[in-house]
Order: sequence, then C-alpha cells, then structure tokens
Amino acid sequence: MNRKLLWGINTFVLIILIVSVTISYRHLNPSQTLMMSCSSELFDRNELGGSISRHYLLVDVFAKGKLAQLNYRYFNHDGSSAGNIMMKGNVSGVNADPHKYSFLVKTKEESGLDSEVKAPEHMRYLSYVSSFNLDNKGMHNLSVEMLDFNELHDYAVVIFQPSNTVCGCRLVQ
Amino acid sequence: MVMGHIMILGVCQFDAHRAQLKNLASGEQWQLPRAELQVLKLLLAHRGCVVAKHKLGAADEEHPVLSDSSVTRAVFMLRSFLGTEHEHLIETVKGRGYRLREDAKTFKPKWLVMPKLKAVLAVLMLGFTVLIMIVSLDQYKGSDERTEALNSVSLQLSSGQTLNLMSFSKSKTNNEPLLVLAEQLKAGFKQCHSTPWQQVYLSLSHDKQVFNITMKGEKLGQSKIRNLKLTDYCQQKQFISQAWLDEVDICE
Repeated sequence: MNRKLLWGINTFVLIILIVSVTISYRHLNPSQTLMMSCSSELFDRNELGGSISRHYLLVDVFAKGKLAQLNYRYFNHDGSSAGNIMMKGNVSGVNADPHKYSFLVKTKEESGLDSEVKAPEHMRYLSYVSSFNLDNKGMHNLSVEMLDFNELHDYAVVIFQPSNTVCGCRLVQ
Repeated sequence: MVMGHIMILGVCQFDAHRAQLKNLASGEQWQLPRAELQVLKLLLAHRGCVVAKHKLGAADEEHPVLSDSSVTRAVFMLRSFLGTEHEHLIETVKGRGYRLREDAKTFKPKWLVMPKLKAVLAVLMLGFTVLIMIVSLDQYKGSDERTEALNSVSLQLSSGQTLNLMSFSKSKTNNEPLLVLAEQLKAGFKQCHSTPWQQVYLSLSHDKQVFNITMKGEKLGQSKIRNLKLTDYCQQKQFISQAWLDEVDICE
C-alpha cells in the first residue's frame, strides 16, 4: 500500500478518534449544574366513598458534574413529615436542545413507608417504580426535560420521564 | 530502513547485536560466524551500492583479512539461509563485488510486512473508530427528541383573559383519558371570571394512576407556579370533581 495513502488513513483515523474521545468525554463528564426545588400538593382519592386525603411534596433536584441527587420529602397536611425518598446516582447525560438532564439512580434511601399511618399514594407509587428498576436492573433511569425555562424569573416547567410527570419548579441559583 | 539493530532481509530478521539471523517463517536461527557477519554488516552499511570483495574481507581490529574464497563462501551461506525466494537480495556484480538490494526492509513485525494485512488492519481501525463515534453520537441522539404537547387548547374566560391548556404524553397511543381530563379541567376553568394562571400543563402517568397539573402565571409581576398531583387507584377513575375544584380553588 502506498505510503502516502497509509499516512492519510492514519491521520483520518486519528482525527476521528480525537473527535470521538472529545465527544465521549464531554458526554461522560458534564460540567453544568442544576439545582431546583419543586413543591406540589398531593391528593389521594380514597376507594371508600371517594374522599380525598391531602399531602405536600417537596422535590429537590441537584446535579453537578457527574453527581446527581433527588430528594423527595413528603409532608402531612399539618406540616409533619410523612416520609422521605432520597435517590443518589450519576448524571448520565446533559443535552442542550432540548434542555434535558438524564440521571442514573444507583441507590435510594426511604423512610416513613413502614409507619402505621398510610404513606401518601404518590410516595408508595414512586417507591414501587424505583424499587422495581433498582432490584431488577440495578439502576433506575430518569430524565428531566425543560418544557419552559426562565432563568430571569427563576422558574422551570419540566417533565420527568419515565413517569411522564409535568412539574413546575423554582431554580435555585 | 534501519531501525535500531534489527533489520529484515526477505523472510529473515537480522539482529546485529546478537550476530544472529532468524528465519521468521520457519523460526530457524543461525549464529553467524565471523565471515558471514562481517560480509552482511558491510553489505547492509552500503545497501544499494556495490562493495568490492576485498573490502568485504578487510581486516578489522580483532580479525585478520578474509580471503576472497571466504567472502564467496560467506555470501553463498547467507544466500542459502535467505532461501531461494530471497537470495537475489544479495546481487553479484561481475568483476566488481556484491550489492545488497535496497528493498531489504527495516524491522517490522511479521504481520505488518504483509501488505494485505496492512490494508485489513487499516480498515478495521477505521471501522472501530467510526463505531466509537456512532456510539458516542447515538448517546447524544437518544436524548435529542423534544417533548411536544400532545394537545393544546385555548380558553377565553369571561374577563377576556386567555388560558392555554397543554397535555403532554410520551406515548402516542391510549391518550384518551388524558384528553378527557383536559376537557374536564377546561370546564372547571370556564367557571372562573379571571385567574392568575396563563398556562396549564397536564400529564397522566403511564399507568394512568397519577394526574399532574402544573399551572403557571403571574401575579404582581412575579411568576407564580402551582403543582397539583392527583392519585386515583379506584377502578372507576374520577380525578376531577366539582367538590375538588371548589376545594383547591382552581381559579386562584
């Protein structure tokens, strides 16, 4: 094989390799930081007579570098704690358009599910879905996509997947 | 052509330090005697040029002069070891001496000497690199899809204010329950004379158990957000009722 052609192929391969490594590195080591807090009013419709119980939920989402943390805090109507689910894992991807963060949850800690008082349905639902994935796959993938984002007014309306949950959140600077 | 002290001659590898010639095809090794070593070294040092017999047999600091017949025998032995396919590398230039052809190669691993393998290797490397790139880009691409509203409806309140209700779903099928809920909520908002809310985002969990409502608006120049999440595990789902609308005071 012609020496010039070989050099040409080598150079081409080297350039592609550098580009690939750069893209992979940027993908695996995202540098953006996300901090937001989302508060929600929860309503559980009871099977008996359709009465509704009420709770509050505070979700803190934190992502910096490769570290990701989601803290779900549940409160009763009187303000007392109704439970807590803390998820920890990695940021597996950050996308600019659409503005989206992908997380790989590896561990979670729960409290309040064993108490005598029935935990909020939302908490039981979240616990079930995340445990299902963590127990079966050893990880729980989730993403947060910005549907509406305004840094000036410190808010973001996001959609969580795979739960398909829309939520309005405050951006924490 | 020379890389360190190892050179390739046809299918043989010459190690000058060890004074050793090795046939790479058969693995046979030959510890070169003084005459063969001297002749080969001088031919390599003057590769492409004719080297006279007397020069090939010249004395050095440790050894006496080699006779012409010793040089001839050494060349014969070297050619024999190179084999019939490669003996021509050492040419006889009648009346002048011997010449080592310039196409005697520098050291390279055996598998690299074969041109077809080079090409295959280059293609494999290229393929591997392209594969890495595709995988890297694919990871990006996987999250490239923007979530668009499944349905968007506008509602004009009696005050003239316009409210926009948007439903979101990842799934393209079985979205009827979400659209029904959007209609029910729209009917609820219709009762409001005015409201601080401008946009309402709606979604239903994949298992249809959790209905999410996010209302966004402005009050006194400040952005305002309210999230309502309704869980209903009943057989007959009824996320929204008039009593609930009154309870949460949807207009405020």
